[in-house]
Amino acid sequence: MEKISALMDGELKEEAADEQISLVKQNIEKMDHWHLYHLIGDTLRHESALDQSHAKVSIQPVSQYSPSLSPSPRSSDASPLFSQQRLPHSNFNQRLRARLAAEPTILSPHPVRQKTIERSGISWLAPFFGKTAFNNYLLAAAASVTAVAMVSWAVLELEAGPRPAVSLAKKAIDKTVPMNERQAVIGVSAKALTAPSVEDPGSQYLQEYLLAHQGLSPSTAIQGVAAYVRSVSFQGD
Amino acid sequence: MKYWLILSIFLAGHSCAAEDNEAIDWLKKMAASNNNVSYVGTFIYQHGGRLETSHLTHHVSPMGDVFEKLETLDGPPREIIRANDKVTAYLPDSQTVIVEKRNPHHLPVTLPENLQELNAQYELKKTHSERIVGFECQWIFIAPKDKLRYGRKFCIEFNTGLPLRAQVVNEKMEVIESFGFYQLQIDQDVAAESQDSLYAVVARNENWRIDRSALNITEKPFDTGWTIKPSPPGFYKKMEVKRTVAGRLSAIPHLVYSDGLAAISVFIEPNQRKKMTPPLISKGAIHIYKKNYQTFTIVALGEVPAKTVMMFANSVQYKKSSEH
Repeated sequence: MEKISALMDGELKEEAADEQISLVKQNIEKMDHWHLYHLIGDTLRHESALDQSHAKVSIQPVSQYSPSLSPSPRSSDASPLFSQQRLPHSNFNQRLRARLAAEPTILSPHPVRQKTIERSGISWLAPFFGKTAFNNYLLAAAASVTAVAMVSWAVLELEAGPRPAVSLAKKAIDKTVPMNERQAVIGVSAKALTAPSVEDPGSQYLQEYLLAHQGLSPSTAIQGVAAYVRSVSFQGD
Repeated sequence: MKYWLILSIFLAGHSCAAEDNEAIDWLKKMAASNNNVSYVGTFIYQHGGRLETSHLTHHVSPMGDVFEKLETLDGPPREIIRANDKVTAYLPDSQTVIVEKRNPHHLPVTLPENLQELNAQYELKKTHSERIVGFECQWIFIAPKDKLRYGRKFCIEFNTGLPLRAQVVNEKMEVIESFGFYQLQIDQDVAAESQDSLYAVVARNENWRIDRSALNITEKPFDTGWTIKPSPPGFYKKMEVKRTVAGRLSAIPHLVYSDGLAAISVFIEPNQRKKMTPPLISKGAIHIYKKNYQTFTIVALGEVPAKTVMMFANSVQYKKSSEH
């Protein structure tokens, strides 16, 4: 565990770092440690998972291996959205893994070379890149998938909250991610939106169904727009 | 003697049919008022023991274009604008604009064509007349023949056909939802500026979230692969489309069933894995029932009793390929 800590702090030499990375990659428990350390670090620095996720959208290419896979949010433009202090869920990693297991085909927002690798299966390509580079790639890719999922998750979390935040989140994504990658982000967030969340009965979720239904109901034909008051009525029964 | 009896039964039946026809005429008049009467008023929406007031502007242009604006006066301000077939909802509290645009030819349930269909499931009765907010109106009662649907009562203004009161009643004849004007001016010239949204400018300037929802505009019905089998008695499929719903990322199957008066929408979307409590929600006459079916979430809703929406949701099936 100390080694993971050292890895995070950039104290390991390249070879040792590679070894740790592949260990972390192979060992779920170590992955949890990795995540936990970041969580602790972020909490100490008063940064949240949302901050990370925002920053991670602009995650760097493989070769630019850096011990800090969750770059400081300060490096990116801080939008009001991410200024709120929200503690990440400690079991986020587990949930993420479950989701990734369920959706093995997620493409990460990365340059062409990496997408090619992903599409064509992974391991056989390793020799072409060299073990180190490949390991780094895997980890970076994993991190970027995490980032994508986290952004999605952030959007999802906010979906339940005030709407303006969502549009800010979208803007933030727009700013940091080039077009082709943005599509990937959006594609994944579409899936991530199906992640568990608690729903408020009076939520917009149902309001939208009501609006969709109302236009087709004879009561609208009879009463016109007055019938729509059902859709925007603020009181539940 | 026997002949008299037969004759009197015949006459009774005849007068009953005449009453039905008269009631249908009133309903036709009411349906037409939507497209030919301008008015400004304040109405109360009453549901589940709650009251909400809204301001309503209804303007029919000389060209026959219909413009309507509803502003809620209680609770968070909300505004719904309908210009012919385009409905825009402004929700300032969540800084959201929801836009619904429909092809008028795709309205599955239109009046008055469907009024004849009503006879199968409902009994139409012309009852008493009354004076409401300064206008004389005629009450028409549409009584359901079974417990799968609600009854309706309308008080229809003598001259214009405008419904001054519209009520939904359950089997115990309790009013579960009511719309009623408490202030009304008919044939008001609606000033042009009052047709504008209070929020359109601010929504644009502040970049409110805009959700567009549009029907799949295809002339032929879309086979979504889903069906309701058996469909609850008296309800027939009026529409089957794949549509985008505001807030959903991809088009989802939407089936609409109706008995001529009430409509039920069934939406089928990939499993939301959201907490399913409470699966049954009601708002006025509307019941919404959600259930998981395999990897899908089914949402059935309509202005019908809870058991009817539940029957719909529980009868959703994916058609076998052999049935295609």
